[in-house]
Amino acid sequence: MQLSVQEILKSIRAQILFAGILGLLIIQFLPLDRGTFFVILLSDVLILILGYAFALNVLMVLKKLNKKPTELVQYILASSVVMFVLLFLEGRILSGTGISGIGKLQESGLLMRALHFTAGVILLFAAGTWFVMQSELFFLKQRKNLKTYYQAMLFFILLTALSAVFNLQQFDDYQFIHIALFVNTIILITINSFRISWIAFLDKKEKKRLLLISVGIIVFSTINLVRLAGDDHIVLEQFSPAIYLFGMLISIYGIAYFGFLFFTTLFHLPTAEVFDRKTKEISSMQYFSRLINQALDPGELSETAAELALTVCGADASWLITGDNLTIAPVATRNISSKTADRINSVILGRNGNQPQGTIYMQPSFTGSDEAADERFQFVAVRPLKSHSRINGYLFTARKVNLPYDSEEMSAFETFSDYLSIALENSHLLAESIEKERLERELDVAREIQRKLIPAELPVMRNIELSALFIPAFEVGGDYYDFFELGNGDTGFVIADVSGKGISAAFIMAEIRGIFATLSRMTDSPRELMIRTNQILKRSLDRRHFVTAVFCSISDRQDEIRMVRAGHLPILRLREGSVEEILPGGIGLGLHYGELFGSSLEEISLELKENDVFIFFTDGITEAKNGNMEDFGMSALKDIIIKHQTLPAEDMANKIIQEITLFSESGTQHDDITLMILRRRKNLQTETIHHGGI
Amino acid sequence: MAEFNAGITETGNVQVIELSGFLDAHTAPRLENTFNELLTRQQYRVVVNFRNLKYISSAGLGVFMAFIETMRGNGGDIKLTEMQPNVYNIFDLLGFPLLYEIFPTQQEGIQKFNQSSEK
Repeated sequence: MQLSVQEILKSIRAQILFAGILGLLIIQFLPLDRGTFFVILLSDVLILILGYAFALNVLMVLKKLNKKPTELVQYILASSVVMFVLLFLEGRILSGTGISGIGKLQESGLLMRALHFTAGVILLFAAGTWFVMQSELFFLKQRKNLKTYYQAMLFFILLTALSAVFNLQQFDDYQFIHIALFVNTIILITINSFRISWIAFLDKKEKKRLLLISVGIIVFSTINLVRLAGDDHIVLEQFSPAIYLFGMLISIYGIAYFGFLFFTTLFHLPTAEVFDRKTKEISSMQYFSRLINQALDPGELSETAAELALTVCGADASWLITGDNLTIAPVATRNISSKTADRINSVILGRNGNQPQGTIYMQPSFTGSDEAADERFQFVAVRPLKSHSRINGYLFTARKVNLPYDSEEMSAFETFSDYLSIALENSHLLAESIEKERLERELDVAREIQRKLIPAELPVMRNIELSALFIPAFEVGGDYYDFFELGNGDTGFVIADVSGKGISAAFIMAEIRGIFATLSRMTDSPRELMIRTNQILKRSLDRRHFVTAVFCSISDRQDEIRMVRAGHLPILRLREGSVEEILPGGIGLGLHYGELFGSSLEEISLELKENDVFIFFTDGITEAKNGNMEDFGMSALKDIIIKHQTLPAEDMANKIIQEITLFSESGTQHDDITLMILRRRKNLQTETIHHGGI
Repeated sequence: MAEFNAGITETGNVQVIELSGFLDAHTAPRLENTFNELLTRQQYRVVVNFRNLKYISSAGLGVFMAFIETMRGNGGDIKLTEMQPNVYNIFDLLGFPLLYEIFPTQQEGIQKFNQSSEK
């Protein structure tokens, strides 16, 4: 297994820690002369290395933790308290045993020395932890590169700690070295105490907590410093002048840093709230801009927006109105009743005309026993939610205090509203495209129904040439035709146009087909059949739908045609080169269910002469539109018929469709086209009889 | 396509709806809104002026069918006036003249209401 560099470093650190403790033990407990300069120096170097190794280990652990400033400060306080307890205990034990004065530690027993050793190491570790936390704090949110200052300070702290050996009485000839270093260190500590920019990023609550903790740290550091400077700790000084001085220095550093921190935080407190709000505002705005790109239901979006508007604009209440009809009740409300919001809407929107185009900031006065007055909204801001210069709604925010928005709040409110407009527009577009897709699927179903209803084959009649043509529109138009064999041997057929389009028309069509198919077996009379159909439709046709239809029956001998027309377009008859409109009376199916329908319905009977041509059609033909939205018209249809009067039924039908296609080339086909042509053949019957006679 | 419009004007106690443009499946809901507005205002005497209406589809006709019974049930009516020949032709083919009162001028439609209330 290969060790990674980090793992090696980790093991080295552990080894240094172990070796440091071992070395220290040897120096402390071997019978060396503790008064020698080099022994003391070596002991101190070892101690400082040990402290450094420990600090590195603390750093390792710290990397895994969440380095929140308030937590770091808490660790610093804890370290200070540990040092305080140690110093207190040490002072107690020493004064209890009466050991004090120079060289006394050497003379005390092994137990005392072990105790001192433990106390010294723990103090070292506490001070190490303190220092690591402090350095983390120092580098928190620093933009400038301050490493040099910090490293210089660290260097001087270590040097000053090491030079503490000159403080001992036996070496005080060189104390000036120590003093010089000490002064330098203090200067550097002071400089580095100004690095507290991180407190700006704390919220108000955290700042308050920080104030308390820094007071704690200052108090404990001061006590520690006073105690270390006093006479009680000469023994500690003797154990390790370096630890002693290190303890003093970090106490000074603690007092300086946290003293400065305390006052700065104190001065930051009044602005903390503003800072908090700005931070919230920005994060709400960011959250919202992410929302824009998510596919949200418009209702859901409005709710979220109303909620966020409170934070972004620092308002007490917020609500939205959206939709084409802007007088409708608010769609999403926060901290306000719909009724009150409605009332404020009508006051504001009403006063400035129906649809104000710009943003309104106002301090409305709601008077009397009004609910709006009861809730005391003293400031209201309204902004239209525009997209493509069309107003899709309004965002309202209101405050209960009479405190208008300042320029920054205004810009936050306006930016937020504009984001919201885009988001709403997006969600509407999505909803629309889903609806469109649904309609298209529905149309597919309608087309399928219609396709199945139209007969696949035409009946064969000896003397009649028949042609039927059906061209569906994109939106199923409701056209339908069918043939039946009637009970008396006659051939019946129907052409119908159901009002409306799409799936509802397709269903009615299916029903009509069933009704005609059933009734055609029960009655031979077209009029009777139409009246009964109308009766049956009463049960299923809603008030705004109707059906126009023509029902014909052709006699078995194919020399007579009987027909009724229920509101349908006229039937055209081509006879001897001229076209005539045949229009028996009759109102549309579903327009009236009383006597009137029957009494208006006129059944006519016409002779089918040789070469007579009957043309049945729906309004898809006469109302076919060109690019200028002009109708194809009845007279154009008649002209074509006359022009092609000699053509067989099928060819004539094709000619008509051709002309319509030419006419409406630039336009789309709006309605179904149904065209049925029947032509009485010439002399065919006689021929048949003649042949039969042979 | 000519923009559809349906505007209400009040003449005495008769509401006149003036139509213009194309009345088809897409614009019919707007005419329905107009009629619903009259219902909420409890106005049941309606004269529709077709002078500027260029086209009416079956969905447009359906709107009148949907409301006429309500109007008549409340003692009112919908009277149709001033239709262009092509529009009248559509009403005529369907048999509307048997079911609705159709007048050549708006004035006659309004007068008819006033006559019946005098009786």
